[in-house]
Amino acid sequence: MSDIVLSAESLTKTFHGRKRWLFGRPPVIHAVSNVDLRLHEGETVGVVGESGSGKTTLARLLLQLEWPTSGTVRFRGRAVDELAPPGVREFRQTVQAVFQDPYSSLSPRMRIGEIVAEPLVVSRQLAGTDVLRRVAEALERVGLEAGSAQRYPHELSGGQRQRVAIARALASSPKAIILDEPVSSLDVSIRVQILNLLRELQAQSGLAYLFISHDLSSVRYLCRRVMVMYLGRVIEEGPAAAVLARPKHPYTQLLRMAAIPRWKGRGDQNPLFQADEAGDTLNLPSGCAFHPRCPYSAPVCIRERPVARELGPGRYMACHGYEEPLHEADARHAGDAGVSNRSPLLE
Amino acid sequence: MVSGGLEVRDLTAYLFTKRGAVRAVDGVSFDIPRGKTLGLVGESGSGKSMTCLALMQLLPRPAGRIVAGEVLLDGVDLLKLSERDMQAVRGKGIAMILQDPTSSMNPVLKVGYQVGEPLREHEKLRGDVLRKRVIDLLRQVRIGAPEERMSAYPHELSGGMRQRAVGAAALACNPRLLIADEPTTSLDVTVQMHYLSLLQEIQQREQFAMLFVTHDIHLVPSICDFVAVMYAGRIVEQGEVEAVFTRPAHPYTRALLKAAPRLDDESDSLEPIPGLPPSLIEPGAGCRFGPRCSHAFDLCAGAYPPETALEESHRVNCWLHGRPA
Repeated sequence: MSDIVLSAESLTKTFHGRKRWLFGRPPVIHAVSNVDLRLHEGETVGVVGESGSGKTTLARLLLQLEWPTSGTVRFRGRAVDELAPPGVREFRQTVQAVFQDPYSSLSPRMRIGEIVAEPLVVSRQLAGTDVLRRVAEALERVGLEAGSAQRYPHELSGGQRQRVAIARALASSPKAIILDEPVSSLDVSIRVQILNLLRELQAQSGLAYLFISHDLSSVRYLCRRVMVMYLGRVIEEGPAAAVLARPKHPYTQLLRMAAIPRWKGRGDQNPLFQADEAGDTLNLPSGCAFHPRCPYSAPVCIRERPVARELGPGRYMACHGYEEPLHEADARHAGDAGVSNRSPLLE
Repeated sequence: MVSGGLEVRDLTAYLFTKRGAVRAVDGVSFDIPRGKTLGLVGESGSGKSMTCLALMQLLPRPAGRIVAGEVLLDGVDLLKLSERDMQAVRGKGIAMILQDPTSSMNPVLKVGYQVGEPLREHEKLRGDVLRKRVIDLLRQVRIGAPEERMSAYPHELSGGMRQRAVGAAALACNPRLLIADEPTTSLDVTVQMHYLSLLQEIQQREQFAMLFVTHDIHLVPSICDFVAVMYAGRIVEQGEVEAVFTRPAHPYTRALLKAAPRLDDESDSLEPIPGLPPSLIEPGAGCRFGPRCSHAFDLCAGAYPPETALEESHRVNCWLHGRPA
């Protein structure tokens, strides 16, 4: 297997909320709990989950914009908190980020050229005309014309702005880009343009992507592996095609069901449809955090937190229910072609 | 279409700017019968939201003006009403849900006050009667513990709950038309699914007509009975959802259907629509999608294609289907 660019071991981050009264204890928010992750050169790993699942905190931890409460982030095998200043500089150049909202992530007072050049100038990688050349290259690679370097962000459309954000990330010749919901604020018809661009760039230069999104269709289109997060924990993980086509965890099944278009008035009878909104990381449910929304929840789910088990090569899931006889019976009925082992009703 | 609902005929609304008139809504016609939902689909800038604002007569002032057309709600032409009578229609006859529940609620007023506002304004309810109605409404949109939630501020509710509270305010006076402009774009997929099934449930009970605006064409089949595809200020194809989705006739509709990734689609490469929408200041005489269309031929640049009926209620504006004799 190719080299690992970025990895994380039992990454955990808790925040302290505001105290409810003067001598009270501040509540603890478990944003990310025990996340392991490996990002190889040239691959795309997807992270999916609802708001509050810890996706963005995970991104910030990997980018060193936030320090973990416990656990380690490794950059090419070395723990990032032990890196000497030159190592840190290398890390900053090699691991870049693109954020969701191209309206707020680009300074309205800077020209596009300046925006793309800024990381090069700040990191003193290049100077003078070399900077200009690199900027022109980056703009060309993302499909913007050279003249756009003189323009301001407000003159560009949403899709073009996101191209600028990608060009800025590309300018320092990174090995990995953390993409935090890069297409969510764009029109559905523009999304494919950006997704295709990301693919092309990866094919050209072997970039690794961590693609964070709540949109399963985009993840399916772009990613090889996927991690599904719920309230700070990874609850299912594996090859994207398999996880998204035949999800095992009831939460992933719920996400899949919500993302598939259906005809009005047909097939809404699945018990998962009754599930309510996500809980919150402030009052984490006991045991399996998904149990209040899970139609299959059993007493054990309230008592104990399920540990992740390997279902197949690289395929993990954390759910008590999977081995119970009921579900095996279901599995026989549903067969492998069904959406899930649990609910033949789905199809 | 006599049984009431909304009939829009040749609605035309321009934005008069220094650079010229922007033809944001250019001769748009559609019907929504009572109890049914029309999905209005298109890219940003296609005129979807401007159509909604024109229906409400809330176009940005002073640039926006309705130039021509008729908007018949249960047979009454709203464009002929005085501003005072129109004000009585807004919030009562027609209600609107906007994209972002965070910015469509006032952060310093309590949720209960805001949900009750249309009732206070239109039905002059006060005191205990008002309170009971608001609690009822919150319960209808499945907000738990409505008595306590009434006195919460918007930021204390989750995004999904906030959008349901906005829905409760919109439904307060039993509108005959509900305009939902991208109501679920800022919500998680699971919350979106929940919200849409709730809207449908209430619609079945109250039988209002609904205009559902979205840029995500794949969302349409699950909530709409009819669909209208809008491009550059005009509707290019419309009809019953099943007809349009299984037999899309306009190249733009087909491109839209193909351009969005789908979870249940194994295809590995999707084709984005090449090019950009045209400027709506003097857009030219021909088909507006022509420059981006892979099927374009000599007729397309010359004149705008007339409406061609393909099957009952399924209509398209494209020279591929309506060649002159």
